[in-house]
Amino acid sequence: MSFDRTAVFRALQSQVVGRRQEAEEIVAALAAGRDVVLEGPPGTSKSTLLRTIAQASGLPFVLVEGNADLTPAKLIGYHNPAQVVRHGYRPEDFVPGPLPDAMQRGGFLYIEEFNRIPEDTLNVLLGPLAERILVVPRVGIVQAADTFRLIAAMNPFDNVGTMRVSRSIGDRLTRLAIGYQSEQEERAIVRRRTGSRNRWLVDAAVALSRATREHPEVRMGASVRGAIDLVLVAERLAPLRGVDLSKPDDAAKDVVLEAALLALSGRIAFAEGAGRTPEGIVRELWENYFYFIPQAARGRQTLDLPSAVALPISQRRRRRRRGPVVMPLQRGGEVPTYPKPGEVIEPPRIYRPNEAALLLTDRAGGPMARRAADILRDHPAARRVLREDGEMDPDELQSLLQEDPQAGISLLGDLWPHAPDEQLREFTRRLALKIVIRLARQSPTPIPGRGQLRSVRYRFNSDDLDLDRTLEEIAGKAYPEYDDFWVRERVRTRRTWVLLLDVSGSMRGAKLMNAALAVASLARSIQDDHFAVVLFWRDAAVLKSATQDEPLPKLLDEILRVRARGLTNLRLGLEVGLRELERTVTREKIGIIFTDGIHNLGADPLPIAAKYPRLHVIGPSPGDARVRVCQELAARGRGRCIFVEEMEDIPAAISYCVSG
Amino acid sequence: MTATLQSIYEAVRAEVVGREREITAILAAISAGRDLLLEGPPGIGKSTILRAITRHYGIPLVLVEGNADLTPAKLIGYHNPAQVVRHGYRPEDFVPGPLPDAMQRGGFLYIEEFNRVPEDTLNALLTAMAEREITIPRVGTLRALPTFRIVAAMNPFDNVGTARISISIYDRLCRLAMGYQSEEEEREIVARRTGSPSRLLIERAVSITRATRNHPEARLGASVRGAIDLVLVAHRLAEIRGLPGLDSDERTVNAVLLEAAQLALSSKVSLHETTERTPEEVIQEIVAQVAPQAVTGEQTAGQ
Repeated sequence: MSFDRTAVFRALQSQVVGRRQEAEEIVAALAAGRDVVLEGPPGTSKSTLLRTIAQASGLPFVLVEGNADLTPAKLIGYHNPAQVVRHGYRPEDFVPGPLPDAMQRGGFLYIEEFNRIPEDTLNVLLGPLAERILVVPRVGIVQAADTFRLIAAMNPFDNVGTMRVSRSIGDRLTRLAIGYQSEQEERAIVRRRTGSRNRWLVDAAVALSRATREHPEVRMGASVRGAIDLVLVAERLAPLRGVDLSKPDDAAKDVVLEAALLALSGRIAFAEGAGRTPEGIVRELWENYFYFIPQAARGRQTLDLPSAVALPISQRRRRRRRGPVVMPLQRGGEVPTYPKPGEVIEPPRIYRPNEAALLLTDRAGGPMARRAADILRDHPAARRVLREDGEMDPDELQSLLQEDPQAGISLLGDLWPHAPDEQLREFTRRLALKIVIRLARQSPTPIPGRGQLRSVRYRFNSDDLDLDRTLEEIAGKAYPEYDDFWVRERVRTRRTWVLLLDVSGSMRGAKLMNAALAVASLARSIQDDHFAVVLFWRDAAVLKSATQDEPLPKLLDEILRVRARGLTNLRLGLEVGLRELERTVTREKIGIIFTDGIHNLGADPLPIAAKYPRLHVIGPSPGDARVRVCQELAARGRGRCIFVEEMEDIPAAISYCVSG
Repeated sequence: MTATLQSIYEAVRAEVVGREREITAILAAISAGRDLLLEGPPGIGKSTILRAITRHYGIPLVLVEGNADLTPAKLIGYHNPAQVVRHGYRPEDFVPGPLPDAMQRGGFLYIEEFNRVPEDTLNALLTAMAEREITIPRVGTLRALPTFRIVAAMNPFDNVGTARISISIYDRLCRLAMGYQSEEEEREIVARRTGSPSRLLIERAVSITRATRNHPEARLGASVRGAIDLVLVAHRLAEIRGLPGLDSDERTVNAVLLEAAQLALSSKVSLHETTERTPEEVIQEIVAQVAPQAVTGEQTAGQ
């Protein structure tokens, strides 16, 4: 490759701190004629590195920002519409987009935020990457010059706005993963970017922002950008406060705290379930850095603050949540055998949505209400909450939920369906409902599919003209209206979902809460799509049909009031769900089933799973689940299979299914 | 710079009631060249402070209301299709959206309800924040003037959260959490905005409004705007009813208080999805706590 490597390394030396090894690797890959994608967390100088290499190489440099708005036409180019109106499509009127431009001039096509680009646009790159040619309709073949290279930067898959880059693209690229720089290097970066000569301030800023990355309650901390911001803000804040920053006295440290709150608190993403404010964590790190033992150093401001140093070790070391689990496919061997399912003797009953009331009051199949003594035996924590006379202390339950959410939820789940009296049942159910709604609200909302590019009438959104259709429309019109123009825009097709929930066997209240949470997160994730909810056990109930509008809290309340029932007829559930999907006219129909894989009544469910256009499976903890059965169901249904260990994982599991 | 910063600080302070800490923090972040995220419930003076700052800097404040309809094209801009058919995609036919507009005029791009904006649209801001330039297909690269800043505001109660806005966005923002003003400050604001002479009415209006924020069944209470509306409505009600002496007579205040509170606050209080009560009932309960006679008096008058 004919670029000036010494110039590149000289430029890197002067503009990038460290990163020598990575730079050599990138240059080696480029020189070997490979295309490169750089993957790393935000703020790890990916862009600086690539921009410097590209600019110093002396080759042409074409920049493209990756976002959901990037269409194939914006990458490839377009025919000048004015000329097409006059002369028809002539190759010389083609205005090349960034891709053919970089190819022809033999330069770098530099794409930022690579994995935010929709898949159909990325697929345009397949030809240029592998064959070094691009076929443009009505123009011909664009041949890449020898020095054409694609360089791209992207963040790791982080669930919001990024997608997994498809295998076929990944296969054609070399990938370099880069992490955070060392503390020394980060200090050098901060000094360079801020121009600050204040050594203790820079050191503190770097130490504090690095500490956010290691805090046990933080999922993702601040990058070096946080440290840069901290220094810049502190230096502006100090004169406003009339503080001298030249030496680290108490006043200066207070300014650092305030700047740290501004610069770092927004950059902290919590691990799920951490009940802290970002301010609290920043303050704690600041105390640890400057004072080590807060109480001894200063009484006034710190005494009332919960600090990690003051907490017992067990509470400090919160284990990092790993979220829902996708198990490796267990291939080979037979589907594990389990007791042959019983035969259906009595025809199952299928409850329709208007019969929901019947379902809730019909207690024939449900277990007896449990005595307070049994609940006390099963749950050590119940002693705190339930008094001698069976009465409950609501405040105690609330504080138990705060301290140990797992124990609290499990107790709550057992309390309300089996509660000794009506009032307690009512109260606990309402509390359960609140928890479900809160958890669902915390869940990440995935992108509900970006939709297909379609021709639509111009509506002040996309300006990607669909020239053929527009010409047809405006031919002969002296004064075309905006409405006569056709543009290519992403249009999302409506989908219909059915959520199948197993309420059989030993389903306890906690499991009903899981079911309710699944419904709530699905409702949140799919925006304006329709969804149906089907419960199954020996019988089945359509709690909500796809076209029916029902307020979410009411629906959740109904689920929580369902009584758990005997055997499991998985096949029946699948059949009823499929029938619900058939009732709708939407093109895409998808099922999601919550099952532990147990099936002990009725015929083989697998053939029905295969009839679903798509069926995702969510199973309980992989330890005790029939992993193989769940995976087989999902494989037959061309869907995804995921396992959840704790209640908080459910929204993420749902969003995994919805985005797949 | 320090001198101007100090003078702008003084000028902004004179216009805004209280908020000393927040104003210095915002000014420090802004003057350090940082983009900013303001987190707090609506109606706590976020835009008031920003308007004052931009006015004193002499730069525009470009306001964007964040909602689900805000597409990247609406933020960045579009080519006029009629011109495109006539001349092709010419840069001069590009109609800039608020983002390039604010960049080129060196203003603040103020995006309200930041967490309601679709992720795809937010990601269009990434390069503008990090590199201070954007590349628009068929237009070219635009560089921002040095005074360009992005200021985002959002309400933590809708904070579907940390998870909804990608970490790449958060990594480019400073964040300031703002709460409600103190009771004293809110009274001062209401007095300034309404010009009401009745101290008693203002006091009651502010305590009722503040109580809506702590009510267990309210997800989100009313902001100080509620108290302002309450006072204005109460004055007009008294005038229509021909009740004299609103500024001194407690009986007159009580006679209109409940009605005015329900008119002014019921739309501003949003209750938990799980509650069965109406906003009116909740407000009546609060009014009864603040001024019991206002509720009992209302009932006897109605009978």
